[in-house]
Amino acid sequence: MASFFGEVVFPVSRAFWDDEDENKETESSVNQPEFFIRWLKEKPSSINTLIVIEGEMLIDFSRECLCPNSQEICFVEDEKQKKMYTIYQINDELHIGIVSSRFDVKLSGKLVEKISDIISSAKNTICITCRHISHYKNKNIPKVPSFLRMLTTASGKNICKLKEPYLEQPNIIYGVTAGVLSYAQIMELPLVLYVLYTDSFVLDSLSAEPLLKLLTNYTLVHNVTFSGKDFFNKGNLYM
Amino acid sequence: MKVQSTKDLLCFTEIRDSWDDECFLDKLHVLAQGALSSWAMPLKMAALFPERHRGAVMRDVTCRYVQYLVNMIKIPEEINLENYTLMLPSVAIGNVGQLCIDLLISSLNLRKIGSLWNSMFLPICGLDPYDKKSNSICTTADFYLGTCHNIILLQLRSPYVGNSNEFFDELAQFIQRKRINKIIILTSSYDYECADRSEFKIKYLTSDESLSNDEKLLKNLCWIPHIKSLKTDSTEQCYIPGGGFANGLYGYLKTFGIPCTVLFKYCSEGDNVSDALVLFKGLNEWLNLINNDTNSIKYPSSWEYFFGNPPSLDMY
Repeated sequence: MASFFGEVVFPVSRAFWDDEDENKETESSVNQPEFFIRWLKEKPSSINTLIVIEGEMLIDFSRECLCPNSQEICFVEDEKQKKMYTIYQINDELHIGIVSSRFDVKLSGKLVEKISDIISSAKNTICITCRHISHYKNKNIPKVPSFLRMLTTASGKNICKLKEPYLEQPNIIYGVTAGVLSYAQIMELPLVLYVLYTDSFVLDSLSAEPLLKLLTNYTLVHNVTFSGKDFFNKGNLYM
Repeated sequence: MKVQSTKDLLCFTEIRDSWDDECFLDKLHVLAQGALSSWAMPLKMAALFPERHRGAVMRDVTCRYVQYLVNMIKIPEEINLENYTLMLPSVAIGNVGQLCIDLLISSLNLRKIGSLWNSMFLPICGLDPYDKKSNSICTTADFYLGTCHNIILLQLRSPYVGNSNEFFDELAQFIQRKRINKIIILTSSYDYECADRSEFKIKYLTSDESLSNDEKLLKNLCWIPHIKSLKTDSTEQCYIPGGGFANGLYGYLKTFGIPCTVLFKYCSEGDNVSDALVLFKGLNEWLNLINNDTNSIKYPSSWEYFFGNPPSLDMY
């Protein structure tokens, strides 16, 4: 915490989150957040395809494209009754899970643990997340507004409908989608994770292209038009 | 406590009305999907209970099974780890322990045998950090096996959040179940905590009698014992500032009588490869894992771009 305006406060270490060192277990155990899962409809015994979406930039776009009139069937809330993860049923085959932009990424493990049985009950899981291009570590950075990379579990290769280059090392993904992938890997579940690298912090019609291609491959969504939609936070023409 | 035997099952016959049937069926469904042979037996036993208790017993078994599922270590059962040494880093200042484990895996060309899931760690994933050609993924906590040297390494790749007791418990149970001989925790400490410059050598803390009683070996290694300090609340602690969970895990394993050694180096954050090399060489002098030749140390391919991408050619 800055003690005066303009003070530059460096983190204690890159190894610790929230300046938390060891030996603070008594304090942190008191503040352990809890998540609660609520079903608004009967819980399906199995889910054919579950698409998990994480990343502020993708939320509005996906909601607008995939579930404008879809029914919310389940959500995970925190102690303050704020929704952190919502599942929409698009049709009998497809469910979409969206991670709230308010969600604190450090609690990703807890959230994945909470939804682990939903992940286990899905026959195919697709995770989509996004990162800014500046986080992409490689000698050759594609000179396009956005591009996709993927990671799959061992059995995920069989369900992969859209082949993209693998996310080259040493690039890594963290957060809820990374947790879902890790969990699926350990449980030997089929899963493909896509990461959209973009050169801006808001989606525009150019940077949304790979995402659109991806969604049309996995869902029955076709003919998404950009005109008259307001899912882009700002226009391309003006600041 | 986890239900592991019929005796444990008998302890859980109390009926809990708060469970609704739907919830129970859901859990059974999950159970059926990932049934492990070791859990089939208690479930069958539960079915033999008097009807009045059966539901409750099965519910408890299922509940505990779900806990077990979400909090777990997955390595192939057939791998015998008896008398192996488990090495793991503590996520600490400068990530020295993690870098050292990376050096060990890469130099000894160890193979991945399994993973650990615990919600305490921030989940991460990427491609195999040691082999550019591989398409297999790495996760937050992966196990690597070295059969030539009887070592198993647990690499941790992300910081942890919250209480680590569950992780300690899980690890202690794994060590006991697999009859692992001893544990080595690699970590680091804030260099500003080091009052004497001569102490920039490796320091150690051990409950392993085969090491602490071997004076000749300790003299050769030139390590410095970490002296227990008294904290303000007068409880004796072997506190390592900035050393992550190393101190806590050391104490926890000690209560189980598991021989454990903590090795650490004072450092400040920046390019900590040299610190990791010092720790690696110190460890190697003790365990004789590779030739004492700099050329035998191999850096992992994922260490490329440690400090970002090369400058763009377009800028000139």
